[in-house]
Amino acid sequence: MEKVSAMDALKPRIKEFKYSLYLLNRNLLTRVAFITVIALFLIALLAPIISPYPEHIKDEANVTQKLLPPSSKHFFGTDELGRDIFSRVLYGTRVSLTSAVLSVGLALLVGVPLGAIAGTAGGVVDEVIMRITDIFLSFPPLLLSIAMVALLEPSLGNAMIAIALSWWPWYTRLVRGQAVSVKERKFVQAAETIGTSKWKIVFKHILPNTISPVIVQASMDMGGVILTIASLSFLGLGAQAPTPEWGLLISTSRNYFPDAWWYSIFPGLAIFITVLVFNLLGDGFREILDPKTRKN
Amino acid sequence: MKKGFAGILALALAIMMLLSACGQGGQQDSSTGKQNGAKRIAYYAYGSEPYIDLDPSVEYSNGLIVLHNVYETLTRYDNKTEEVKPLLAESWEVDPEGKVWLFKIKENVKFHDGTDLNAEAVQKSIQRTIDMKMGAAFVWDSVEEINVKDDYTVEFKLSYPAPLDLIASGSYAAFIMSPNAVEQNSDWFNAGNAAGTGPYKIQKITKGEEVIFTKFDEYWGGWKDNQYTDIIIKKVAEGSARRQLLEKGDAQVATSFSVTDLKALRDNKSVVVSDHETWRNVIGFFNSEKAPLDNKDFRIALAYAFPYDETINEIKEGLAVQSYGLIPKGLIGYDESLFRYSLDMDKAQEHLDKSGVDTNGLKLEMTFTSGNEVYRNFAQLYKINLQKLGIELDIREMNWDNVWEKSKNPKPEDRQDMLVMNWWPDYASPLSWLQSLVLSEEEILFNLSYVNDPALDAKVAEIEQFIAVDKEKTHDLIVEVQKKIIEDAYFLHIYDDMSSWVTDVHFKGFEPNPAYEGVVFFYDTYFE
Repeated sequence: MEKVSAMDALKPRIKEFKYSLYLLNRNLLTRVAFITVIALFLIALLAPIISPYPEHIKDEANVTQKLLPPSSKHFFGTDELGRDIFSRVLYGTRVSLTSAVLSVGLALLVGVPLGAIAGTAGGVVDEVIMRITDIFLSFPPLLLSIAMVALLEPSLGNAMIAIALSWWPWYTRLVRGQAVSVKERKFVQAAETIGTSKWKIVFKHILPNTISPVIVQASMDMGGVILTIASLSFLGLGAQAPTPEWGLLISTSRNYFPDAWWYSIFPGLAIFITVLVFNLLGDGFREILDPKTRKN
Repeated sequence: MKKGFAGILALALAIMMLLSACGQGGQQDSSTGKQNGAKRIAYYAYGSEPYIDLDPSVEYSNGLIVLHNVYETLTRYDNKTEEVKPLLAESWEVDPEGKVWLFKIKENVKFHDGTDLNAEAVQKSIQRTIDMKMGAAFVWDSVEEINVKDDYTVEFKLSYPAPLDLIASGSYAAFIMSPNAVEQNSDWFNAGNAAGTGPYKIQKITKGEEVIFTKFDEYWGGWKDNQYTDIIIKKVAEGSARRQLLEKGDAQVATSFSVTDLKALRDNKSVVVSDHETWRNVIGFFNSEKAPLDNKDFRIALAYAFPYDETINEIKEGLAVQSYGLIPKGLIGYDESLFRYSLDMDKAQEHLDKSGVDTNGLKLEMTFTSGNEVYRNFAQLYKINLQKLGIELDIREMNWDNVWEKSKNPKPEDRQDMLVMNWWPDYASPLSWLQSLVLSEEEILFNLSYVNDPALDAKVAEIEQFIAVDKEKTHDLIVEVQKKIIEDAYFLHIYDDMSSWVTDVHFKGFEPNPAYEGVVFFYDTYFE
């Protein structure tokens, strides 16, 4: 019998990856979305360097320069305390992306293993986990988040926890469905036959084979989570002043809207663009990773 | 999944609610102010809930704006003459010691339920409020007994001299109600029932949202053709929505606007903007029971770090004056010789060093009612200043119930470090500040700096003895108390507020009275 080297074993996967990149590049909207998302993460990373007034985030204010319209000095104008809105919107990218990544990450951390366990174990374990997810899913996610933050105390950290707690059941349900089908496949049965432990089967064999739809879902959820964080902050339940969170900026700007349109418009545009590109990217990932559309 | 959609929906709903608020209220004939040819409606767009409890013995919040149009008090404070004027009492007299008061009650006055006002109704009303011990009932603490001397004379016997004519003019707890209503419990009142002698009867209530009145035809003062027959007091939380209601002519009166809204409204010919001094002051309360705020020098350092001038000149755009202690202008005890802290970071650092407090990793929590743009703005400036001292300020906006609940936590260390709120008097007296904010409390109510100083308690007790009989002595005592609380920096005396009222150009006769915060006495207003 001929031995297969590790490199040879990886070859089909490398080929698949290259094909995925090709598909990503082929779709214009997905390509634009992908590049924009990368740009957003770069902005988030480099915010302290590229902001013209990084001191306007929390160290300084200049009330005498309040509510100035957009100009070459302040691209997006100034707010009610004379702070540069452009700098605050750039920093807001960091706040929104970090909190969205952490919220989705936490939801994945809870939801994915629970789904894999439910799908693999079946029986009572499956019943208990799925009924708990049903309870969570019976509340609209935003309403559940609002209720949780109201219980915990308004803050960005608590908003992230609340979002993760109202989001995890979606991942549990998704992974559980995948696990139920994967566990019937021969490689899982073979592992069971040779006496591999149940935990090892769940985490080494079942989870890696259910991950594609989770990636698609997570990338699509990023937009929704950013919007929910902004909504919670808008309602006073998320980030607190002076954090430059987009929803909070819009909420604060409401009182000035008739006379300072720029204050609402630019954070609003930032939310719009970010949510849009994450949704487009999610759609693109679905097309790339879905076996049906992939073949087409 | 529908989560993104839910977020969009929530934002859209918020915008729709804002827009819908803009479209409310009825259009009136601009020449007569009448709607449907018969009713003349005045719409007061109010920034918060119009009331919490409609029981006149219980309410101790916004509800004064409703109750003072439905019920009346024995006397009313006139801020122009700085004197108490008769209302349901025709006249009154007091013995030289200030401990026995006789009130002569007005005759031919009817309650909304048709019964007549008499001495017994007055006695029962005040006794009900005292017995219920709710809201501002404590203002009657000096009263030992209330006696009906004849049909229209009531006698109050006091345990110590007190300014009963002022107390009887109070913004809370001094309402006279029909003997039938006295027998009822709070549920009856909160179901929308009322039986006062006031010019308006309650027609409809929506808890937390609005109150609609209609005129009481048999009101003892009589009616003129150009007075308003129907009144709507409705919660319109957004300043921009209140502004639009006024600009469209849907609302006749509103207040609590941002300085940017006021700027725009001042240029609008269809409305009138007027600025008035108030007895409402904005105060920061330091938690003097919790380390490191139990350290006097640390509190002084914090007092020197506050941006007083920026707050008053930039954030409030001059519509406020820095406070001289607790007592605002127009009341006994107001004194411009009192020391005022000003922003001085060197002195702040000096007192911080003197306090010996280690600021490494020090985080202080400031709480206030959410949605107050002025508080949010000065809190952010304060945060920047404190950062320079190495102190991190955590700004916490919460609804009032949570702010208050936290402030009353049995463990001082679990309470906030600083709380900001405004205060206005229960009646036209400095005692409203001293008794509520300075006098030590076993069970915390409003002494939110948790001042617990027997010497100050003794001084306040002395003031209570003299306030009805010796104004000069009272003034000196109040100044002494204020000197001590300023020296110990229990409070941030931020500013005495001014109120800017915006009224429709046809809405006449309205004069805000600082003794009745936020109240529009609609009977005095008329269409022109």
